[in-house]
Amino acid sequence: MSIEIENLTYTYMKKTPYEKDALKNVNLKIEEGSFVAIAGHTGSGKSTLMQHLNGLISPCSGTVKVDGVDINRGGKEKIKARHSVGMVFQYPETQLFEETVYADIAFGPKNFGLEPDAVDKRVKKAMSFVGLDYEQYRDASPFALSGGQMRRVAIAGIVALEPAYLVLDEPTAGLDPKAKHDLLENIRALYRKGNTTIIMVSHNMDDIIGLAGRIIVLHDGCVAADGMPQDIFKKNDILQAAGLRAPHLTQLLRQINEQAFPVRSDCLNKSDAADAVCAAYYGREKDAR
Amino acid sequence: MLDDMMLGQFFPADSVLHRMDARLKIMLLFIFIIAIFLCDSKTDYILLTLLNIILMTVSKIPFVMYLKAVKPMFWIVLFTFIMHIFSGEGTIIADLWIFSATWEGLTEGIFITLRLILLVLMASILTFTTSPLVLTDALESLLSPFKKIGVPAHELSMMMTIALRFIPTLITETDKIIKAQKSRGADFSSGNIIQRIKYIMPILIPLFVSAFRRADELALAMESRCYRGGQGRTRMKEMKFGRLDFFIAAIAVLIIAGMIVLKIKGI
Ligand SMILES: Nc1ncnc2c1ncn2[C@@H]1O[C@H](COP(=O)(O)OP(=O)(O)OP(=O)(O)O)[C@@H](O)[C@H]1O
Ligand SMILES: [Mg+2]
Repeated sequence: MSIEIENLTYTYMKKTPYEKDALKNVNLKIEEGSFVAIAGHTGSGKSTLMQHLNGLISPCSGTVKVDGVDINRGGKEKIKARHSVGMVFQYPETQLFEETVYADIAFGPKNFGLEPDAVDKRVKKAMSFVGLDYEQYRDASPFALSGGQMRRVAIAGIVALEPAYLVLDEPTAGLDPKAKHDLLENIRALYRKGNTTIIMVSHNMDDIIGLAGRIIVLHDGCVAADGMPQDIFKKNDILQAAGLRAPHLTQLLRQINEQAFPVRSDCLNKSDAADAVCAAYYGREKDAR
Repeated sequence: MLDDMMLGQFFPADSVLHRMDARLKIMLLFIFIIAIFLCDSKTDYILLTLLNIILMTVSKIPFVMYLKAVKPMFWIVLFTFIMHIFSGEGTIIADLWIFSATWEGLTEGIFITLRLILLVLMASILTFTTSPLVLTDALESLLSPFKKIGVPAHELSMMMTIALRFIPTLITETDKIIKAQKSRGADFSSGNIIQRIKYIMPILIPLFVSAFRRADELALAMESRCYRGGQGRTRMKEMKFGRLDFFIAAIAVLIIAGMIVLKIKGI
């Protein structure tokens, strides 16, 4: 079970002077149960690629298969396959429309034909997932919330669909540091639970580090790099060409490496890094003695 | 999905029509429209169609774009055409139940169809070759003589500029909201009318919310840059009537004069 993208090409405003190749011959396979980050500079085609995953955009050429079903061909199976991919858009709070938070989160599950009890359960679960108190917020108007809270309601609206694949397009854009941290923790917790494959778009490597097991770098509509975070962060030239930079942690370790003493620079979290620095530092002292 | 909208679209290129003064273009369009309505013979239509084709070629914009501009009118045009075929009186071509198609009706239908298409094509030539900003500036300039009798020329053109500026934004936004609601299982393409109307709300509400928010922000941004209406406002790009424009105006006057003479002589 996986999402398979083959020779995907997409052009916006085809046959007009504004023609723009947003994706050029992209080949990818996203395994079930993985946490994949898609990184790239603004305009590199990340959002375009995302929208192909549940058939919102049909490819100009190439195929997108979800669990073996081509989502742009065929009947009933196609719709089921599309439903197994949940999509959180960039700035999802702009899609809220219901009178209450509850009704808005319930919109998706209802459309998918769930019974009222099941919908109720889903809404409760989704709200606790994004850290909104059910009793306090269920009757609130989504338009009376703060931006960060609106974002959470919108994300809950997708999480309530319990998709097998959850796609998030820059979920942390425009959030304050705490809200950002909380949201990333929520996403991590959802992934840990184990039955959701997560595909997250971000151009901030600091958001991705420690979360994703694989990073795909998009540059100008092509896959520029694809691999484990440690390996990707090492490829400084590719990152730079794609308009990205390694996370702060990697940069710090690299600086220590260059200016002080040799230390491993492929650590993915703070405690690992601290251990590595200590080990390198004491190792050096021992050598000196 | 909404990519095909050609309304008010501008295509930058380097053609005589692009370089012309927009005020002249608007005036000529006006005259052309009047001419279309005065047309009543085969020669008239052939001449106007020829002129139209020449202008479309001169504009250096692919013909496909013009086709797209006409496409939304297809059903209206077809309807008028059929109406005319069956409503004329004269030599009968064929009988269908109580209706009968006539030669006169057919020619009339072709003329009316041509009229509609020519109108849209001419208007498209103007919008395709003139950036919206320049277009509204030109309108303001053309309307300014009427300021004395109380026509708010500047305000009108500012309103148009803002409206034109936000059409693409709103289209993009609508597209995004439709996609977002589709991903939540909203189904816009099946079901009966009532079900479909039900699914319009999830699009309309977010769209209105964001339109109001944008209006608010825009008003604030304009205020904080000391916008106080048109009085005493100067522009960065003054519109100038150049040599090219005089040249084209002269040609246009000649053509118009020629057509009037032809008309009077009764050809
Ligand atoms: N609706 C559209 N019409 C025309 N061109 C578009 C449209 N949407 C995107 N593009 C173009 O396609 C390219 C890729 O856009 P895309 O939205 O996928 O970028 P992105 O990687 O998501 O960028 P960002 O980080 O800013 O969200 C861009 O150059 C953009 O200008
Ligand atoms: Mg994007």
